[in-house]
Amino acid sequence: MKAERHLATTFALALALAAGGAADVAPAAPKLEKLALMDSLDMANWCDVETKEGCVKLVEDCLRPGSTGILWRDKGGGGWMRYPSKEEVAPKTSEYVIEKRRNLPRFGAYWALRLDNLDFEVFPFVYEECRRRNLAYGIHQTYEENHTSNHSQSQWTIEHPQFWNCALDGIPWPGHASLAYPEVMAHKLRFADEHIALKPQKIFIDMWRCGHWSLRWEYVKPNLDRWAALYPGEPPPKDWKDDRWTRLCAESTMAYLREYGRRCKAAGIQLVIGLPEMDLKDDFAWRQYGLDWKLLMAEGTINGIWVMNAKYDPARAMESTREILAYVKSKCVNGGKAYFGVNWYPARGGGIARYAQLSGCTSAEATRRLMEMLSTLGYAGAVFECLDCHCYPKDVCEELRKW
Amino acid sequence: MVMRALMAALAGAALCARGAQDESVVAGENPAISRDGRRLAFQRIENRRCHLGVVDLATGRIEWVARGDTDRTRLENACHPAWGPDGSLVYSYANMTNTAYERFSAKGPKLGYALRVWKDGSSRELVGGLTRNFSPSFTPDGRTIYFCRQGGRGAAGRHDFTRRMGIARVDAAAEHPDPLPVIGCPSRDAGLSQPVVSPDGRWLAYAELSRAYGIWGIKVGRLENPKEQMSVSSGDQSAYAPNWFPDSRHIVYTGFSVGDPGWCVYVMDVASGAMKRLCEGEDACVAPDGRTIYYSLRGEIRRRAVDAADFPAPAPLPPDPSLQPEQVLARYDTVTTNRTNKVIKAPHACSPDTVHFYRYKFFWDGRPDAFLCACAFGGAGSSWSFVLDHASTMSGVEIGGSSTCTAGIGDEIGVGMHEITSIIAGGVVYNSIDGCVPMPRRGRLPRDPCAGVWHMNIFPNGGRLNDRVKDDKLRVESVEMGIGWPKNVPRPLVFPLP
Repeated sequence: MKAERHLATTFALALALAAGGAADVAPAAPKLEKLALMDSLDMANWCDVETKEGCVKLVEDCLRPGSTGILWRDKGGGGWMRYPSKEEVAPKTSEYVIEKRRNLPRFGAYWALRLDNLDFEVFPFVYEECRRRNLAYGIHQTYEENHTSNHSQSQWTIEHPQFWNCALDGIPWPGHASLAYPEVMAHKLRFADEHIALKPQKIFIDMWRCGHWSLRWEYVKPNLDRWAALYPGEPPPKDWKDDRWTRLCAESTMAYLREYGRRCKAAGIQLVIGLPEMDLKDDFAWRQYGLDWKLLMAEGTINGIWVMNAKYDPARAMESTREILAYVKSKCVNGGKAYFGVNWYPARGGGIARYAQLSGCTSAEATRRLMEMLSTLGYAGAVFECLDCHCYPKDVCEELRKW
Repeated sequence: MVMRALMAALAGAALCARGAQDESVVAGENPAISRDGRRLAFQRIENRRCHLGVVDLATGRIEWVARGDTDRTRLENACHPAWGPDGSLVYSYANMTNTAYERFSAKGPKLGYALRVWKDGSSRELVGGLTRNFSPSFTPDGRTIYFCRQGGRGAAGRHDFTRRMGIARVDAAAEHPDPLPVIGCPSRDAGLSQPVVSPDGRWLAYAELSRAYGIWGIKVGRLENPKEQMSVSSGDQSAYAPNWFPDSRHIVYTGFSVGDPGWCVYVMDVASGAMKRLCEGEDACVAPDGRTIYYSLRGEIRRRAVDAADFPAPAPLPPDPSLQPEQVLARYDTVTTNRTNKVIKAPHACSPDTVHFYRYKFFWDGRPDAFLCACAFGGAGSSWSFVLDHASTMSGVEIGGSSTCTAGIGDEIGVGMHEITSIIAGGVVYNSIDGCVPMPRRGRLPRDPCAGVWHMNIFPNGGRLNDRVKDDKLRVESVEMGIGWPKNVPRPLVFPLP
């Protein structure tokens, strides 16, 4: 009897092991989140994203790389609104002809979209589609995406030039309205409320897509007045990377994010900040935007950091990426999660194809190494930038599905 | 100091008092007053559609030219009205009955923004297709309509300037006339819009967005040759939507300067550039008698009387930098061979009050017969002009830009002999050889059939010359740099207007 029980146990164990071994190779650690960024813009040349059927196609396309969730892009302001916003009011947000102060974009279908003026609302619909497929869902919010030729400029910003950013020489820079003005802060927070009202599970704020904004353009009256009060008789610094200037401008960036975080927390929404150009110095976000992510995480304002790309050493791309990611993870406190962009998007030097080229391996192998890195470093997951036009090739998708 | 503050306060109070007296006419924006002064066309946004109406100023009765259906499956918008002398009203109109995907794929009608002309209660289409035609205006005689156009391709699939926002014109009386190009768009990040002809029929004013992250500015050129033009708004003010006063010397426009409460209505003396702020508001137009303007403010069209006090005193004309004769300050010989990157330091820093030039003399395919010259004009945001002195081999120019600023002329506009073509400071000049448009990509040679490209970056303190030319066809013999007006280069449009 004892021997039979032993045999049965052994047999059961063998079966279990066989079942486990037949499954795809997976790390022992919990499975990684895989969040697809979906913008519907480039996809508009592939399917009709202004219809429910087209939206379903987008959801299903995100399953190709095994996404566990989808972050739907919405701009932090201006053009291509994906819902009928009260802050960025149609039709001027997408009927560019009507707004005299807009330059017109020149490319194909996606510049003619009217996602905020359809006979159904996109966000509730795609969220329901995600729920049905057990996918997480949220918003990929660009900080404020403006393309160089102004066509995607925020409508509110166009209408309120008195709040425009300004260079040191006093020439207005119309790309952004400055958070240093209380009116702009109020507008941006009303925007935040609109996003929260859409009831996403997560909001990922993308700081790279900020329309080339930086503290270089923050020589606006409120900041200049504040400078004069803090440093009487001293002109504002010519070098916009001056430490004191950064600290001064950071007051409004941090205030905005803190308030946004507070509202997300109250609504039970995870807020994650996406930062580009991460390296071991970890000062890019501070210098460019006046943003201290570590402080925001320690305070509990943000629930995570999304490393959009690592500024790796091309001579040792994988190794240096690992060092950077390990550093970031070591700074995550207060339960904060870390995500990394496993991007096909080639910008910022960090795409999978570039890693493969530098490492002398296939894209699938480069993908495997990156995902393994995330797993062993304890990252919460990967972000796929961006799922448009089937850019993630088949072999990469197959590899990603294993994780 | 106390007296100065008191006077400033009084002036501000006077503006506020005048503003409070302005009369509300109708809810809406973008007003256009008829030539007889009796009717006002306007647009009004309701339910996320833009409707177009005409109000009789005596009775207040509104007649709708185009009132979009509230059915959410159709997106009908009408905007940018402008009157002709016979009571015709031209405007831009779109009725998108299909989605963007359907419109740009093989299915469905090709719908864009058409120009329509309304008269006596009915409209006819003038210009249509999968293009965007908008911001029209009639010439004083009503025979021609100038407008902004974007979309379409040129012959043989090549870039057509109308793919970017440029200015075109059509015969107002013709049935489906072909638009003719007037002024091409400076570069891929630029756009031209809102053309208006002066009442005396001599000048064309329009708005230009000149570069990436730039601000709008107003230009005025000769109607018979709009390439002769110059900027009239100052480089630190965003300015657009010009409209002429009956005297053809002043314009009313919308502008913003740092310190303004928002967009404001300004009056400018075009000859001197002197300007005066009237009130907060946008999109002003001038009544036929020149004594009233209509403008919009926060969704309401208002009427305001103007008098002599509202016109700026003409300012002294700025010094004409083109009068200073050329003076070569530095010369470099045999600057470059194929695929080199040569940094050239200017012997001086560019200043806004002086003309600066680079003159390149080069051999193409062994022939020493081509050189070009770039000049900087004065004023804030100096602009460069690019002139070919000998155009025997170079037939087209494409000027692209860095990430900080862009410049250029359309690639399909040939640069003729002794013809000024404006570009903007800091631009990168790509020269196409043998008439082919170069498409350089990240340092690689441009694709065939273009034989080569060479380009120069121009900075305030120097430049960089680089070339990517096949078969060593190009050799730059010399680069001269100096100040003053180069020989053989025609002077730009100069004010005062003769």
